[in-house]
Amino acid sequence: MKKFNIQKEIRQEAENNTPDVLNRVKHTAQAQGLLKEKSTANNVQTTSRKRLTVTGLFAAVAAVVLCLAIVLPITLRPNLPSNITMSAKDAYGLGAVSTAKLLGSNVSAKAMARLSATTKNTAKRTNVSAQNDELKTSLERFNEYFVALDSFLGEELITTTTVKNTNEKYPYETMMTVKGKDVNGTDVAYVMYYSETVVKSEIDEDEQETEYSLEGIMVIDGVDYYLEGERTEESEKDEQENELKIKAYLDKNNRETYIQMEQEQSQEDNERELEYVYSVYQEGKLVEKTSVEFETERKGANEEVEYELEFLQGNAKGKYKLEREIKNGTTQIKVKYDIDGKQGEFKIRETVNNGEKDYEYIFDNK
Amino acid sequence: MKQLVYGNTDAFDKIYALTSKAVYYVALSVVKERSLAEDVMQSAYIKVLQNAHKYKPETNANAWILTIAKNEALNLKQYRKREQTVDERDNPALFGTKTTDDYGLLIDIARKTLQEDEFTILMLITACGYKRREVAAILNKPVSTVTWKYNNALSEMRRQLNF
Repeated sequence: MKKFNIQKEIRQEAENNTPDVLNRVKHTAQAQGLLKEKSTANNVQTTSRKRLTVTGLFAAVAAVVLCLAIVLPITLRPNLPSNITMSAKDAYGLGAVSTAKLLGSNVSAKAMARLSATTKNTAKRTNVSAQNDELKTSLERFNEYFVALDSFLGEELITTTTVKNTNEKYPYETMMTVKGKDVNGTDVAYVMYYSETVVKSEIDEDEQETEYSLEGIMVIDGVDYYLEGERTEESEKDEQENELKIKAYLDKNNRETYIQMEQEQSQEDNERELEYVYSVYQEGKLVEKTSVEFETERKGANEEVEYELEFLQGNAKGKYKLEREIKNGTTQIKVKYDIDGKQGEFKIRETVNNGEKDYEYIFDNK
Repeated sequence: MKQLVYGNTDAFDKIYALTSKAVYYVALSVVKERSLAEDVMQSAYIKVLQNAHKYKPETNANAWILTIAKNEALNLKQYRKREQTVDERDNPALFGTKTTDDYGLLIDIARKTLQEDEFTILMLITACGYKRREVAAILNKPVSTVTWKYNNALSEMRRQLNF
């Protein structure tokens, strides 16, 4: 039975049921002297997929400029590596690791203790006190997400390798090793054991859609996190969209407490977007929802990457924009925040204290 | 937009082609009735032409046009509240007659069950093909809010359809 795709149906309905008032408008406009009369009025076909950008609007005025606006980006489209260009398996890996790490930090005070220690040390050299309660509360949650994702904020691509699983302790078909580099360039690796099943597969003219279900275990720092997931791949002409949903449990038998991650990845022309929405459930209740968005845009020879984290629900507030910068050979993450309308900036630098990785939060007044 | 100031019909044709769907569904989200949304489309585009000289090139053209459309829709909604008629066609509810505005489509289910902003976001992304980031710029909302509301809209639609 063909799967009912709500978005596709709505798109089709809109194509067939949007009224066309062009001629009526032109008639009225010409009567008011707002438009010059034209001898023939051709029906203009509306297209649902065209993007009206400021640039495109000016380009629409001249046919030659419009052609260039369409042709040039396609012919000059780069094929360069980016943190955001990842295969479905890489997306699985990143999603699974970040979700499981977040679950781990939710049930331990480790992340919070780490933040308290580091901000206390750096508060001495700042003009803005990091002990401000609101900022501190928000930073504690920010830190947990940052820790969960830090493996993938380095400049290198994450890589995943999958092999047939031979570890009898984990009764799944495949073993995936997820490798990345953290902020300071140190190699990190995690292992996931899983089985994936194709649930549905459809091809309809130019569109292809496939659905998978996933079950497995992610091992991080010796702790097993039970995972369940669904993945959908859709492709149509020059566009591609992937959606991934993963739930991570500490206890397979306790399904009331878990973290759910929903990921959407889209790629079109020079822009790529990757977004994760994490929902934290405790005893069956949604206690927090957070969005992390990665966006890459190719502008000429430069590629800009932005990360944005926003707390949608829960006690923590705030929106954060992260940019990586390298100063004096050290990688720093510059973070601009907006908490309840209060804006500011701080930097994050990774340090090693007694062999243990730590993050330093530096607040400067410029 | 500059060409609109000079009354260039070709420029208007292209702008209409690129924005009419979005204008219609933004209007529909406010006025809830198809015929009224059509009226809003007409008045909105006339307003666009009348005010083309006020458009600032560095700003988002989509946002500018859709803001005009939304304001026209709100004005019409306010006007109709004040001027409730006894014409059966205008107020079928008063006469117990069935509305012919419902085509039995998913779009009709969406506009009846979703909140106004959820419907707007759903239609801009699904029907008009805007990306979430573009919708966020148009509606002046955070991208994550747009994503959340879009997902909520889809979830509600699935619930309505018993999926």
